[in-house]
Amino acid sequence: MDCVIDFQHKQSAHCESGVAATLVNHQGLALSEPMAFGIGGGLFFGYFPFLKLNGLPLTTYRCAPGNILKRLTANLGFAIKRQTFRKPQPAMEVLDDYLSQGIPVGLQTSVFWLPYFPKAYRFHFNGHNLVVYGKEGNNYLISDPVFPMTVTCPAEDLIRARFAPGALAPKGAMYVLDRGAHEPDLEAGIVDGLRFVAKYMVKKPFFLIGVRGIRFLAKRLGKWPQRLGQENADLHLGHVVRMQEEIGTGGGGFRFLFGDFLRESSGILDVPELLACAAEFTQAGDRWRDFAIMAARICKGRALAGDNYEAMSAIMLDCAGREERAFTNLLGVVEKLG
Amino acid sequence: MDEAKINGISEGLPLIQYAVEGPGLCRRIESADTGTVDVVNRQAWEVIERQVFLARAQVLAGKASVLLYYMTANQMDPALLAKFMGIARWRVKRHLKPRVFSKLRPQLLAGYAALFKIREDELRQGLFLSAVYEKGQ
Repeated sequence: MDCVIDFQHKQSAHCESGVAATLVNHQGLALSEPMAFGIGGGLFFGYFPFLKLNGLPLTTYRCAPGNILKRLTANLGFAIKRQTFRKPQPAMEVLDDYLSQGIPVGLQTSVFWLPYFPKAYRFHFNGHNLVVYGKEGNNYLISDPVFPMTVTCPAEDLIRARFAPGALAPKGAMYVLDRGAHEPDLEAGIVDGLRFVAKYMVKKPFFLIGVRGIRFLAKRLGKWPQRLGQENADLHLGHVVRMQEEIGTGGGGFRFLFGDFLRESSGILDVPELLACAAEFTQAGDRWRDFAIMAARICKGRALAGDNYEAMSAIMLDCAGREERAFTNLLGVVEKLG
Repeated sequence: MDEAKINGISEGLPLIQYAVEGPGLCRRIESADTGTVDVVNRQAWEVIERQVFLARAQVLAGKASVLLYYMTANQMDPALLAKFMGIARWRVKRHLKPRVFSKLRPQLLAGYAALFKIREDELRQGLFLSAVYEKGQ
């Protein structure tokens, strides 16, 4: 079975918001990646020392995989059909079936088994997203938002990627979007997305998430060299930076991406206050960047005078303060919008 | 790895970043510059490379079967490998012993070889071949 769906590929910073944006675009609604990220309520912070990735505590700057798509479609009034499978064969059959009907399919996969990825990114990370838009012989045609061009992947590798076990196992997860009969309400979607993110960042009474989570990590991180020893502390630090800056965050732990969302929203809603909020997030992103750059110097063993864990802790506390102000302002703006 | 060192971890692939353009403005840019991330990515790989080195030494010393090398090189532990193979973890741990491994059923050996993308005889001979992610497309 050979088929190619006319699908507009677009490179993005982050896989899930990129897939969400291109799938929504395919339904005839123009939406940029930052808009998909923002309406999907993608921004978050969480530090979960009891969950380990490669033996290092999980730090996340965005919501759990799958939730951007879920909230974006809910907030826009799109129908999303998500399926998981126990066995590869039916999972590939259903995929082929959608393709032959001309429907592009979003998949959750592991990155380890995707041969088109550069080696340096190939870890057992199961939260990747991509769109399959066709098949030629044994190869699937893939719009992977991380790449500038479309790519191809042999069926065996795609099966492995879809059924990789371990943390966040995709279990063959696939999803298709349907626009439905209603005209999507972009403005209401923006307000929902903003309110959701702001509430999680400043209103939730749990010490490991949101602004409180940032403060908690900042204080812990300051004591890492004493608690863990220098070498292990550097590994922990490097892990935080990877979650913040490595492929798919758009830089600054998604804060720049979120800033761009606010800027675009300010025009759509005609609310100039959002522009001021956007600037605050961009500045917060800059501070996160400062943190990452200092951390990289320390990990590389080329620390400058004044580069140490206490200083990084202070930068992170500054980020927390900036984000607390920014989200509080944002909540105020959202309440006025109703 | 040398090539990656020259071009950064993305191997010259342009990536999307949202960077500051003016006061408070962000904009989409394409860039293959991954400076900060290169350092921390490299750090993660150094940990893996060290583990692989130790695993290989153990195999060469006759303290573990070659399966330990392939498991480590492909960034797995017995629990994850067991899930990939659809068998119990204690069985994988047993297969890490050279004496058990040398008498492994061909069916299981073939399963391991397919997972690591090598030939069955290569696995039986105990060759140290590259991990799955080294092969590329």
